[in-house]
Amino acid sequence: MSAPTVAGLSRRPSRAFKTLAILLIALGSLALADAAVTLLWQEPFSALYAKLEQDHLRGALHKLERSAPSPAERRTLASLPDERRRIEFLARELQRRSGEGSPVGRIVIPRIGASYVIVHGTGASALESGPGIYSETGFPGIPGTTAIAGHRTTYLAPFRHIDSLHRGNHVLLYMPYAQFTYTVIGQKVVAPTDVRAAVDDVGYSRLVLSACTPLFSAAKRLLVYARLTRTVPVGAARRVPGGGAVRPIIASRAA
Amino acid sequence: MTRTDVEASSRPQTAGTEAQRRGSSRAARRLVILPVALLLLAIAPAAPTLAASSTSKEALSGYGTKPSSGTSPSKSTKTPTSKTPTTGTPAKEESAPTTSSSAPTTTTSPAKSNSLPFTGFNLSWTVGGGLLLIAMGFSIATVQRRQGRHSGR
Repeated sequence: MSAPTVAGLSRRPSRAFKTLAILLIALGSLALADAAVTLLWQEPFSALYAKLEQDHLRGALHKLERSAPSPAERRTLASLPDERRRIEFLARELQRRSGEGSPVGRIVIPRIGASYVIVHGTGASALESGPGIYSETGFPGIPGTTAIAGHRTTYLAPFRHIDSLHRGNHVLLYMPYAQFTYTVIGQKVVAPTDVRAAVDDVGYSRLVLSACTPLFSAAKRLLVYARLTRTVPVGAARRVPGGGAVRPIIASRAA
Repeated sequence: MTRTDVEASSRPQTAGTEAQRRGSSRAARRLVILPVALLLLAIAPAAPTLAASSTSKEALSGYGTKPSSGTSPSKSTKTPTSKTPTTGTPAKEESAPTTSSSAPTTTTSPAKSNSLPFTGFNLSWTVGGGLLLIAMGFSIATVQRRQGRHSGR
């Protein structure tokens, strides 16, 4: 009686080991397939997550763009006749109001076909949703530097091809209060600790895009510098007494 | 259970079967070593990038954090330190950098974080992990097959 029981017991763990072996091989193959797809395109699982997040952010941004300024904001805006000052005021208000990871605008880089909702902050979870504006820098419209970080391989890889941006290429930022056009003036590879290269003010309004470099590594950081060349006020930032067309504010010619 | 044990121990062991058993145990040991070796191989080239990513991740932990007051830190510090006029236009600026190699040098805002955000991905980890899992799976399958063949005799 005991002999068949022993055989049955010994067969059961062998089957369990066989299943474990198949499972491990399947998981390993999946990891290698993921690496291959990442190499050729981008990391697919995080891309799916970021896609859903971007869809959600797009809806929230649409709501933000349609929302009217508060009575207090309206009072202050009424005392600001200059459009630049109105833009700056609205930029500061949005920066103050928006929390980490909340949508604040949209970045469009025609040269690399990038169009993403940008969020406030560069925390790990914020950057999983989309490119994020550094908390150390001001929002576009506030004089000084605006720095935006974005993933290069994972989470839709918004900045995967920023290394192909060259002098003269445009980067557009669509904020709820204005549309900004920046013209690329150069790029630089720095150490991950060189924060000042990204956030310091340089005496003119600029945009700094940052991402890890080289691809599939985090050894260094690639910074793309762009200078503000055009601002078009929208929404509450516009002051059109006669109801005429909106005049763009030409900041400066591309260097 | 004891019966089989007794049977196994009482069975006359020839020199050939003992050598075969020794050989299979050596093979099994080698199969166990294989995943460890693969793991070391995967870690070795990734070590520098791992270090970089880990430091940046550490630094990142406080990157997006805001002061407990709930206000954005950049607003209060930016206005007095900014060199551009408060109107927000850089139209009167003349000193734009013209080359890509030289970074702008003026500094006004203090850096609060000691590292730029981590936005990369270490592919060697995925490849190393995948190879390790496959090696472990094949090791288990091979050892099982050998044991099954052995017990069948």
